[in-house]
Amino acid sequence: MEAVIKTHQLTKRYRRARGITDLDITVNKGDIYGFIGSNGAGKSTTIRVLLGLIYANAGRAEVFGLDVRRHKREILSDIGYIPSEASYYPGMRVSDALKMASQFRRRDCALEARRVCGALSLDMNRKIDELSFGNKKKLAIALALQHKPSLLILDEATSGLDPLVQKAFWDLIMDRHRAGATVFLSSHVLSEVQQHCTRAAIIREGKLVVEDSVEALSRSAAKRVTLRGCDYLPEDFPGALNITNINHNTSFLFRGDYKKLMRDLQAVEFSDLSITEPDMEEIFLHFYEKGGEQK
Amino acid sequence: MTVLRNEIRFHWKGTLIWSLSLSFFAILALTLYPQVANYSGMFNAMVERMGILGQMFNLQNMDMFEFMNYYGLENGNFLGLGGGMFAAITAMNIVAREEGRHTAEFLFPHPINRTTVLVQKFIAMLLQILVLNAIFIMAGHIGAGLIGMSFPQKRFTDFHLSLLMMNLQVAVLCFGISCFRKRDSVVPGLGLVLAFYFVNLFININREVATFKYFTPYYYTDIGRITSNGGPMWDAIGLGFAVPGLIFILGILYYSRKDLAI
Repeated sequence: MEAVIKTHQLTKRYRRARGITDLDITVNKGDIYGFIGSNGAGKSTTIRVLLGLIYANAGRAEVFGLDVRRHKREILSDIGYIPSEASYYPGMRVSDALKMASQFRRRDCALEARRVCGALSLDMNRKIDELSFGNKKKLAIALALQHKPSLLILDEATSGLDPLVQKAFWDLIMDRHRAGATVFLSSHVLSEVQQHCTRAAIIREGKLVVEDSVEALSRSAAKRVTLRGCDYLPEDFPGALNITNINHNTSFLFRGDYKKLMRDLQAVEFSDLSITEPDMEEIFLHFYEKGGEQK
Repeated sequence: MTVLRNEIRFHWKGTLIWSLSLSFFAILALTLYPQVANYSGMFNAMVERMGILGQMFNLQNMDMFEFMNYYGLENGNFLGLGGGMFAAITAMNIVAREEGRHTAEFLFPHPINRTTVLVQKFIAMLLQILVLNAIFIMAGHIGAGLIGMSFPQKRFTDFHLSLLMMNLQVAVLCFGISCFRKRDSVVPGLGLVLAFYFVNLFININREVATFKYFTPYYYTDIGRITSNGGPMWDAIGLGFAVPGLIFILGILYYSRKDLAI
């Protein structure tokens, strides 16, 4: 499998804040890769190193098989980047920003820019200073897509967008993905990762906790056990985490020996039982609680 | 040249406002010349009695009512101080603004290297300073024409060449400093210009500290000194550019390797 992004022992330290430590991730061609972590976990730091905005203290980062320090221009010419909060030059119109970006890339992107702006209902004649946060985000999306890049780096890309625009955004991203683009999505909206991503990594305090396919992550994480007609489960019930009781239904996360679980449940009153795959939120909490043990 | 075009688009109004404001004062000062010249005897006597103040502005070694000296003194201050401040403000912001206003995150993920950005920004800054100086020179000619006077060609050219060098020295220094900064602020630039200006006044009073003349570009823009030197003081200009030039080069090297604050 051809790696589009590969980091090896990538480390970035700041003077006062934590950055990333010995980060090893691999994003393969065609992946929609979710990069998950809480605020300050190191997601944006990783992205900025990949884009050459900041430089790593140690380790290596490659995009398209090229070193990000030495081949920055070549790499950036085929990347579309959506920052978490986009800033623009004052006094510009949407069309000016799009034209400026296409001039940097020495490509005529007018047709695709019009198509993307149309899909997002973004008026190209409006002044950027007058745009709302959501509309500025739409412009960032158009800027990232208009040159049809083969790698999209999205940093909290859907924050500030209403559900309809989010749908339009994902339609555009999936179009690009079907056309062969690889997508690197940093997010803490876990449902988004679960819905769209094929692979994911969880980063915690600058360190990689786990990296795998979303399917494998779901398998390796704890399962959600729900006991209907059950009002009480002891807090020290073996292997149970995050016990909740709502409307005579008791639910908990379980990871361990299921035969033993069945034996232990014989002492508990309930009328029905279901064991389901956890959602992304639960996977995330599972790995976060376990810290770096999984790596 | 996209960065250059953007800078010009972004700054042309400000450059025009500065140029026209300074030019207005230049024309005003020139139109007052005939009245002032009528009282030259009285003014000369005043200057003699001014003592340290006259010394401060280097008035005692020249006839300040000779037309070119008058122009050099009055308009030299407008373009020297005003133009110096303009150069400092422009240069101080032109690089640091990208990080200060977070537009670095728009600009630098594009396939353009940092040195190219700096070169284009530097050219944009030079053009702005040249435009300001050119408009000011035109205003000087208009003002002189209004009172039926004309400038001695060589002294006028030498004087404006020196002022342009002074503006550029400030700009080169502030551009270099701007590369090290993460936030846009004009305060350090304006502080430097005022410091340079007062160092020159200090040198005029106390000749024993004349070694400081290489630290202030205002030294070589003095019309009296340019006249007695027979042209621009290229030794002072050359040495004056040494430290700003070094800071400029270090600034560019630093900027191409620094972590951008976003």
